[in-house]
Amino acid sequence: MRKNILLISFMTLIIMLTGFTVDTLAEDLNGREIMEKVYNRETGEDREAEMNMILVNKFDDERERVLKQFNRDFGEVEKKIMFFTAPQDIRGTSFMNWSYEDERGDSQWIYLPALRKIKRISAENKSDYFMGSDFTYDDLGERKLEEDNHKLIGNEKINGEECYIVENIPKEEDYMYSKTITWVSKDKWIGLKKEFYDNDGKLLKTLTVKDYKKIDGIVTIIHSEMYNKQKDHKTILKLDEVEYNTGISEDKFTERQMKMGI
Amino acid sequence: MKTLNKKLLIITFSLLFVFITAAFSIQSNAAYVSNSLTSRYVYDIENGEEYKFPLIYELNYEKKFNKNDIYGEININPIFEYGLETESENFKFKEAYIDFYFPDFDLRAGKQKLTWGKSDGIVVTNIVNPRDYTVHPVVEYSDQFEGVNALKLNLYPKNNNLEFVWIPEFKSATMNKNILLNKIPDNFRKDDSKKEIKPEFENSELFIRYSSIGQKLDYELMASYSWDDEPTLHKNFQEMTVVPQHHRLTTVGGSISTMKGPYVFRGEGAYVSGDHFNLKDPQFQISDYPEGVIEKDVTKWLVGMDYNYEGYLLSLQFMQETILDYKEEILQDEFSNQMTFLIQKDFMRSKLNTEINFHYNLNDEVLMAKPTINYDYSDTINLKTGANLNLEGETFKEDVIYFQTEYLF
Repeated sequence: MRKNILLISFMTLIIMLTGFTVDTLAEDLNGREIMEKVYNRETGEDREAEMNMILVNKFDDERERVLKQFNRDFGEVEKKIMFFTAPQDIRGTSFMNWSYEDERGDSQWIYLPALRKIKRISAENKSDYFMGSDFTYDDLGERKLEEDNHKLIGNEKINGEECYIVENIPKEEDYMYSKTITWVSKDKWIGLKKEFYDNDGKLLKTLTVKDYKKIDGIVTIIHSEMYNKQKDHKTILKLDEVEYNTGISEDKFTERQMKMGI
Repeated sequence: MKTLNKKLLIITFSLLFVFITAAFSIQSNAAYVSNSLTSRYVYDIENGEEYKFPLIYELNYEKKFNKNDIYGEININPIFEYGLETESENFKFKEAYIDFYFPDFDLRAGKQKLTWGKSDGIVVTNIVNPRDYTVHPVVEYSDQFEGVNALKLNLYPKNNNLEFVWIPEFKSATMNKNILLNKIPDNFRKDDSKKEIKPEFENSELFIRYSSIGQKLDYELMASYSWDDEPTLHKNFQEMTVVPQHHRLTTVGGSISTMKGPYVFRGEGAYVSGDHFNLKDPQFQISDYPEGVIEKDVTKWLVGMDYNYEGYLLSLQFMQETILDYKEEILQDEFSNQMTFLIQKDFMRSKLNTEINFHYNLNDEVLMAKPTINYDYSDTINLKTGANLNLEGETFKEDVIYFQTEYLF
């Protein structure tokens, strides 16, 4: 009996200690470690989705862009292709991006159906806004962990979820933002809110996650909103028909596919 | 009264067609149907008069199909144009073709437009479709090219593209009459008896292209056995006639495109065998060149660069054409040089697009400018204004300004 009590007490202590240790570890994470978890969370080998981009101006007038997106991580290179399906004047346009793990820069192409031509475009202009939206190419792309210095600056609840607040200061001096601040969900490792500051240190834009859900076991943001505070307009981004790990082949990211469309 | 009735008839017809096709687009699940109705007002600012006032209706019908495991797509793009000032009607298919998609190759048959090469607005290897020199003003660049009836086969070795285009019946460029008339001496008359190329197998055209895109470099290699799109003016001194004639050309060429930082560089080149040129003095060595025409090979090369600066796209191109084994008696210069310069900028979250395109012919010292302002009032209404201006030198095309309203539905 005494032996059992001893064992139970020991087990309880272990559980408490373990629990305490996990909590302590979580509390002890620094900014870089938090962002590392965000960058390294499971996102699948490939993904396809329909994207609705609604551009809303200060008078609440809306313009909608619909596109189908496919992307796949091939290890040293991640390839992405987008097909615009609406509105009519940009229908048939496609955009392809190859992003390399190493120092090689991105390669980008656009297919313009009116010209029946694929054009290589510079991937350096990441501060350009994507199709008139409030998202820059860089906002939509995969920023690398080592491109910023990350600092944990606090904790806060967003919609009832415990979040870390991490300040990210770009190492590159001429980067379009002086800093960004990300609210990272403590248990899902996704950013639920992000603030973008201009080069004068003033708040430029706020990205807010409105809805997310688990699809094929992967936490997926399906509704977000980017609000440009300085210009008082916003872009709503909605994902639909999201599928992971469908085995998208390399043939999808070719000249043939850009011209052929979906 | 008669004119008014005709206009009413056209407007009624257009509206009826609009409603029918709109209804069709709703009912059709698999097909994609889009329509556009454009009114364009062109004003001749040189002569101070109204120039053209066309009403253009365009339909784009696309339907994908899968029958007995054969995948494909039908694409039909008719265009109906009514000139309000001339009461003239024009109906044509811009394109009308069927695609068949197989696992390793694609096949397309029908009237189609293709674009080859990396250059913008200057032709080096983009020679599949003939030019239409009567288009004025140039509102859309692709309108300067005409669709051709062709059979196209694409193979995809290692995800690259090997394209064969066979054009069974040669289609000449549509020439501007003013340019042609200027080339005919006063005491000569035109004889079109040898202009036509008979639609026979041996007169067909073949174009081959291999293209690849990659991390560092995109490139194309091409070869063709075709006709010259613009006829050479042969002279018959006995009958005092000018006889336009086409000649066979063999062309090999290629183009490249690469990126370095914010710059995109491109290059294009071609060697053309069998081109024909007029002589300055047609009676020069008349025994050797009895028709005042000489055959020579030609090289063409182009370099260009795109640069993005603070949201402005700046694009510069230089092209040179060289007549090999040149003779001083040839009417055309040994070296023909031209440059283009484009500045493009979007405003208001891409609702407002502005650009100005300069084209400079260094030999003739002719400078053309094409400014354009495009405003997307909504996803269905587009407003556009622009001009085709001759800033220096002389051309046969009037300086014009245009205003255009396009309704998409």
